[in-house]
Amino acid sequence: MTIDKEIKKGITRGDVILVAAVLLLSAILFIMSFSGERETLRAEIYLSGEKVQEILLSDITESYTIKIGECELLIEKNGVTFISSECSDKLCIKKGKLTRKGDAMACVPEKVVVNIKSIKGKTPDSVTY
Amino acid sequence: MKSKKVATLGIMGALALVLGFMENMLVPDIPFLPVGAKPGLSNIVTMYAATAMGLPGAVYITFIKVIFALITRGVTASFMSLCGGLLSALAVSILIKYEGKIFSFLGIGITGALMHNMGQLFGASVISGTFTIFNYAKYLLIFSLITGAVTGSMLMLLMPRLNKLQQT
Repeated sequence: MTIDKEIKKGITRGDVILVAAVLLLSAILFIMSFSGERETLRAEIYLSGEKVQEILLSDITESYTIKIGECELLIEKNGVTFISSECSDKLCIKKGKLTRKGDAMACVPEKVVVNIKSIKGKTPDSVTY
Repeated sequence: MKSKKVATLGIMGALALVLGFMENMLVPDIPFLPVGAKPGLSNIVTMYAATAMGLPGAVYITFIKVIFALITRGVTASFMSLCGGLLSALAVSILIKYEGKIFSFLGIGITGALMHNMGQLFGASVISGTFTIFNYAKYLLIFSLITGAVTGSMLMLLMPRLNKLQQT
């Protein structure tokens, strides 16, 4: 099992295109997800693939905790935080508070997913509280 | 299978596990890391296996890592490792055939890291039942670029020495 192929030195044009494409794509994704109003945040909470809660964070006056599956979430006006979970790696807790549109975190072992979105299709002005 | 091949695969499998274990210890000390993301140093071994033995070599290393993840970190982690590892092994094995023509090891490393992360997100989506987790992809994209470039260029530097080793 010898490697008969000569290893070429230096980067190729393909490398440059790849790096540029990934940079561009992630820039677009970041701009798309983080632009917009922060006041109209909405948290979508999934358990085992089913959307179990949809919370309009701006409506919250007093923060509270909810239990979704084996995870406990702290719901506040400015974000959602995983505060406890039965999972082994606790990555969901390490993530901290999800505060911005486009933020997402999952506790994969417990099948709990939280996505922060803004109110779909509505500008802040047209929202009736 | 020739005995030399068995021995080489054994050493590479062990190396992949050690690198993976070491980076697990390092992760808490690396700043600005997206939660759950790792440098993927063991991908250097997978890429080398793909270079030396093609897809079967890369898949072999992937399965060693998957079994290790199953024993040490549980079913969820090993399933995600399997999804990421197989997709990455497949992409790297194809691209390595055209090394220097399409991508150098730098581009191959980046593609491997990208595929590994996307495969893991896919695995996480399957387990949790919702593809909305792909919202997290934007963090991993930019991170794959850095880790892939690191692992790719490490292999580029190591390759001439490894080649010399193979010929003895």
